[in-house]
This record gives sequence, structure tokens and C-alpha cells, in this order.
Amino acid sequence: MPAIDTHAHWFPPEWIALLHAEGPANGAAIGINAKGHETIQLPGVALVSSFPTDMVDLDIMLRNMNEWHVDVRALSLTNPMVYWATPAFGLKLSQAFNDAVAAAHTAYPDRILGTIMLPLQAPDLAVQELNRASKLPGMRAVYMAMHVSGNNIDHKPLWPVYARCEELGLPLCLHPVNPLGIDRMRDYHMRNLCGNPTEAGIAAASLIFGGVLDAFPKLEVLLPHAGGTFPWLIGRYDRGVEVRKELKHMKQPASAYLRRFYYDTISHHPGIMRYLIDLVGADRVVLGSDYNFDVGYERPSEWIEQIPGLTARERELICSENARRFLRL
Amino acid sequence: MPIRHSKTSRQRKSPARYSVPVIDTHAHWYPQQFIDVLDHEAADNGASMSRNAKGAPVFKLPHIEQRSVMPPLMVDLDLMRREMDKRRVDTMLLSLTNPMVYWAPPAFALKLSQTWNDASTAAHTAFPDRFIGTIMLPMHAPELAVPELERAAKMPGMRAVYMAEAINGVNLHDKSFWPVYAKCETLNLPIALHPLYPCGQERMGEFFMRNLLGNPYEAGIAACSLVLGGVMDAFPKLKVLLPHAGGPFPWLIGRIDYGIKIRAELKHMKKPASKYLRRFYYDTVTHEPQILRYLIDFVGEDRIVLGSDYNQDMCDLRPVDFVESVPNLTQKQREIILGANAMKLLKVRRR
Repeated sequence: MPAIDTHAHWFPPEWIALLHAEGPANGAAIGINAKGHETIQLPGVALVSSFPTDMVDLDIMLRNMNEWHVDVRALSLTNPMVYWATPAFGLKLSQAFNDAVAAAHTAYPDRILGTIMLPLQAPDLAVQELNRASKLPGMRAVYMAMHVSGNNIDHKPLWPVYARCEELGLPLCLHPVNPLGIDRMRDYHMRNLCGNPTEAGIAAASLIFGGVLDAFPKLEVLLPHAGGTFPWLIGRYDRGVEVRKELKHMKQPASAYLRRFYYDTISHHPGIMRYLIDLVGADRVVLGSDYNFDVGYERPSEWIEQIPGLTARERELICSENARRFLRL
Repeated sequence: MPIRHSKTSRQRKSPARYSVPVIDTHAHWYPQQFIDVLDHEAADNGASMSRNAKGAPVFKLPHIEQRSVMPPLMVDLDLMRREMDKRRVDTMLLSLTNPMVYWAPPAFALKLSQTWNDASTAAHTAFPDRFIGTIMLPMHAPELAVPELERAAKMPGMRAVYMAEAINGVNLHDKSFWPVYAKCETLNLPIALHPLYPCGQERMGEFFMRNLLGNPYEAGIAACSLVLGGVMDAFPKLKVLLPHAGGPFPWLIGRIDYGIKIRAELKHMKKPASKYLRRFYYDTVTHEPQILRYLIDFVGEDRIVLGSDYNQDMCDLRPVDFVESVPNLTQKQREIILGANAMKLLKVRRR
């Protein structure tokens, strides 16, 4: 039963090289931080990104997988993603990531899987790149932010991408970038601690209320950070569907969509993870580590052992079986 | 247990009786006196008042999309008492809601606060068993807020201080608010929080997300701000009631604890955020019995108080029935949640 980590980040050297070569002409400011890591400040991106070696060097990452007892990892880019760039450069950056991750899979077919990065700021280019990248070896999901340049992900121009994902049988892995309400989140790292999980709530609400999950009934979606705020506010969403004219188009309560999503294990609380499993079902929960951010998990398959009353069957589902179904392995 | 969509579990043959008064801690009222002051002076202070098609007052700020509609069921205490009987509520803790007073220049905000506070104590005096009041303060002018707090605290039936979860975009740990917290602690008055114009509206314009997600999110930010910003440590006896069942705060507690372990921004914290979970009270406004069941298990039934959000459209019209629909609650636990906790918190005597 291989342990499959669905939430792990990689900055391929080829991708960084491209950013280096052509970023400055596209508004990027490259520097060096106190730890000697390269940083990059991008137009319209609040967070300064850096690329630590353990998120760049594949050999280090494979050693880490052994150490953390992770057998397989689905690698994704993370902040700053590519939506800040011009469509042409966004496409080029996406291609660079996709080619690199396919090559990583080819080199380590049993250990590495890829998620497809797309220039969603230009949906026509995104569909074109999706068609290309889906043919590359080991590409098992499409990776996307929980908003695209400030547009929620029910934004109609994105629907051709969802249609194509559904046709290709590729699930979506969502991830926060630049969470909303930043003016109120500057202190105490609240941007990350509260802002990132709230993005999952908004993304789930957008997909449900905006009709995406109805229009694409076979589309599978993975919410990071254990679904963030989404599952816990479900009663409020349902009440809104009952009483509000903005939601009179809804044919079923929001809670009927709870099991349309997958949820990773990044809740940092075994007791809350238990509630989540009880609420959505053990068959909707997959391992995530958030490698290798400081808010991530070490040894994700061992962490779940702390979940109260975890059965052998639940362990099997969460560690491996659900991800195998989700990623169609 | 997966969520069931049948409503039948919420229906009872004959309503249960309780040995405690049923106290709704989350109920909104626009006193006529408050409306009168707005009618006369809102325009001179940068806002506008009008009437909707049904003749209800409507307050509007030029830079804020959300309007405040003040229908008779949220104005007329006779109508409200009849509704309370229908909804099996004995006593309401009355509070203002949007637009509150922080939009107004300090002097006018003080006048609005005084108007509210005087009306609120008068409601209590007229119906001492049915209504208790919260104290509204011009928090954006703390030098005016503290004297008004001292004045209003002496009036009959004023049992809590009411406060938005951010004051004009400033989080609640801001040092300018600390004299108010100090005074609340000295006076042994709990703080009842409420959202007002939630942040992140640029992404919540559709599908009523401003309310469905934005309002509970404010409770999460406010709780984080009070815990991480040192307010709960500096005022160890301060009691705080989070509306909307604490929003996402309880459910993000693992992430916040982990942040405290690893982040430089939080190295001042002497204990994990989860140690503060039981410093807060949480109302029952979850709209989902199973989620309320988890919350009761997580923070303890002694931290949960009844709330209905009277009488917004998101209001729970049958708040007592809702609590009764929570799986596996004993009669004793129901009484604790429906009345006993609020009696202690708000110093309500048994009739």
C-alpha cells in the first residue's frame, strides 16, 4: 500500500532558469534573501517568493520522501504560479513546469507524478497547453489557484478548461495564492493561518453556487488544507440556499456537494480530522504534506495515526486508495 | 454521521419544557429612537436614510454596498415579544447590528451610542424578564467610549458590551481599544462580538458570499486577533462571546497552533491558541445540528449559548428546536445551552 502525498511543491530548476532569463523583462524583481536563497517579487503578487534548495533539487526531495515514508508524490508548483505574467510568458512558464515534471516522472516513474500548470489568465492558451501536457507521461491532475487574478473560479472564461479536464478524466488540485482580505491579515501570519484555509471555503462555494460542479458532473476536485473553512460553514451555506434570492437557482443544498470534493489531511488537528472523516466519509480524504513549507507536515502517513479511532480500512483509504482513485493510477 | 436533508428530525409533537429561561444571545433590534436620530442627522453626517417599498427605514453609506433595512419585526418590541413566544424564546439579549456607529464622526457616534443604550435599558425596564441590553460604544473614539461605557454600565439591564469584529478595518488587538477592554474587565461585563462589513468583499460579491462566508470569517479573524494580539492574556477575566458559533476559529485551531510552534511572528506566544478555545463563548448559529454537535464536543457545552440571529433572513426561526435536533444531547446539556450558560454570563436571575 504505497503512501501517496497529494500536496507537495516543487520549483524545477528549468522553471527558475526561465524566470531568471525572462522574468525581469516581464516585471519581476529578482533578489537574494538573508538565507542566501533567491527571491522574486512579481507584479501584483503580495508574497515574495523564494526557492529553497529542498524545493528545487529532486535528489534531496527523493531522499526526503524516503525519510518521511512517502512512496509517491504528486508535485505541483505553488506561489507565485504564473497568472501574474503576460499570457505568452505565462504559457511559457507553464510549459517549462509541465515538461520538467513529466521528465521527473520519466526518471522516477514509481515515485513522482505531475500536476499540470496552466496559464489560466488566457483560457484559450490554457486549453491548448492542457491538450499538450495531458499527453506527457505521468501527468495526473490539473493544478490551479483558488482565484485567477482576483476572479473566483466559477468565472465563465475558465469553463472550457473544466470541460476539457472532465473529457480527459483529469482531476483538479486547488491551492491558495494571494488570499483575500490581506489588509486585515498583516499581523501574526494570519495571511497564511486564516487566509489560506478561507480560500478553500470561497473556492468550494464558487464551484457549487456558480454551477461548475453541476455543469461538469464528472469533474473531481481536491481541496487543500482539509477543505479549510468549507465543511464547517456548510449549514450556513444550506441556510443561504433556503432563503436567499441570490441562490434560488440552486437545485439542492450545498451540503449535497460535500462528497463531490476530496480533502487533504492538512488540518493540523487529529480530532478535527476525525470530525471531517465522519462528516464527508473516509473515502474522500487523501494524504497531503505541503512539502516543504514550514506550515507543512513531516511524515504525513504517520501523522494520521493520531486520528482518534482510525480504523485499518480508513488508514488504507486515506494513505493510498483514495489518491489512487482520484489520480487514476 | 453524514448530514441528512430531511427536516423531520426537527419537528416535535409537544415542545419540551425547561427549568431555565431560554435566552437568545444573538438578536438584533433597531430602536425607534435610534431611527429617529438617523432620520434627522444621518444626512449631515455622510449617510442617508430612506424608506423601502414596504415603508421600512433603509440606511445607506455612500462607500458601502450593504444597506441596513429596519423592518417592524426588528423595531417594535410588542411584535418582537410575540415572535419570541412563537419561537420559544423567553429573553433576548438585544444588540444593534449594521450599520453600528463607527461610520459616524465621533461626536455623532457617541450620540447614536447613547441613544441606543438609553433605548435598550428602557426596553429592559419595560419588560425586565424579556429583554436585556448590550452597550454600544464609539470604539473608534476610545476617549469617548470609556466614559459612555461607565455611564451605560450603571443603567438597568445592560449585561454586555457589543462590538464589531473589526473597527473601521482595524483588528481588535489594536492598542487603542485596550482601555475599553480594561474597563469591561473591571466592570465584569462580557463582550459580545458581531461582524460588520466583512473584509475580502472584492471576492464575495456574488451568491451572498459576503454573508455566508464573510460574516463567520470575521469571527475567526477577531478571535485570532484577540488571542495572538495579547488581549486575552492582558485581560485574563475578560469574557468574549463569538457569534456564528465562532465561525472558522475552532476548526482552524490546529493550523494556528502549528503557526505558533514554528513562526517568528508568533514567538511571543507562551501557549498554543487551543488553550484559549475555552476562553470564548460560542453561539449556536451553525444551521447544522451535526456541526454544532462537533463544536459542543470540541469546546464543551458550558461554552455554548443559544443564538438565533433574530431577525435577519439568515435567522434561525426555530432556535430552540434547532438545539433539540442536535444528536445525543441530554436534557441537562440542552438546558445548559438554552439558558444556564447565558444566565451566568449575563447575570440573569431565575424567575
